[in-house]
Amino acid sequence: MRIKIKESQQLEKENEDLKKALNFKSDKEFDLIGVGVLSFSPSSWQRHLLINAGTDIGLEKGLLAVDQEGKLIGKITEVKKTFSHLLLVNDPNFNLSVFVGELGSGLLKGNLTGAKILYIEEDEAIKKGDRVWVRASSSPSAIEVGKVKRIRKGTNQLFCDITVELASEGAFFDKVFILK
Amino acid sequence: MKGLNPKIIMLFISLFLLDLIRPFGYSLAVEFVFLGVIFVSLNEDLLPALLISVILGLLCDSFNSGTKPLNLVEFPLICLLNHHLFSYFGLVNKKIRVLIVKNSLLLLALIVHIIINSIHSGLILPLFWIKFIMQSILIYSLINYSLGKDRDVCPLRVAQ
Repeated sequence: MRIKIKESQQLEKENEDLKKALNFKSDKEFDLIGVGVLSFSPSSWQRHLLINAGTDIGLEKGLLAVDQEGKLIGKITEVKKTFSHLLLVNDPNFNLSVFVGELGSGLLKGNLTGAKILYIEEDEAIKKGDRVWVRASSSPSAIEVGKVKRIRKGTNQLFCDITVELASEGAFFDKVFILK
Repeated sequence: MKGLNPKIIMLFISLFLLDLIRPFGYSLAVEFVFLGVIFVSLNEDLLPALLISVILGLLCDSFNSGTKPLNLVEFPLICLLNHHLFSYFGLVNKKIRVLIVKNSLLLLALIVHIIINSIHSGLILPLFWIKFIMQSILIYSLINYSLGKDRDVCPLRVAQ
């Protein structure tokens, strides 16, 4: 009986997640591929997942991955026939060019506990709370990455130090969606 | 040389699976396999401990991203270091060996692991290091206790 209740709860959650993903897909007109997570990186100093899809369904290196709400969680870094490596946004090796607010752009880099934006010049008008977003190659719609949490301006530095509060703070994923 | 206890082999399979499945995601900053390597280096003979460290290092590297075989080098090194330092205290009173020497070596291994990985990733994250050390010590104590090691000097036994 308990197993059946647990199963139905899981199905309910899965149904809810898929509904959210469907809403995101129809809102932003993305081609989404839902994939399952096989395993996590065994190292605490890395943040990456192994997903159960590869070149067999047309995945390729560099594709972005989002959660069921359409928030960026990472990008594909390695693709095999039936599985792929997905690097999460907060992995120290994660780099992605992002937009900040309406005008700024910089390089998002993970740092285990979150992410930072590098190479934003001091004179760019960026303020706390500005949204950080990215554009997938397949669609003009914006994908939410997070928002500016803290801006530190050094006295003799050309660039400011921007800490990002990631939109998808989830530490655990059982399924992810790839943007094609 | 003693053979390896089947209980320990089962433990390693479970620890490796726990590292891959990560039931608590990345909110738990613990490397179960690494704790297993420390455990085996402090409680087993050198040769089987070293063999296990090499196998686990290889397995972990194959699931990590990147081309450097970091764990393959680090795990046997930690195993050798722990085993070598622990052998210096062979004649010391058992209670001191367990409570002070083993725990100090556990802490030393965790610190070495933090230093290696921090240099490799180029990140300085004091809060993450503290979290890693605290959680690792807690999980290590559970592994140690569940395998019945040092129960005679473990405070949990006294409390029962």
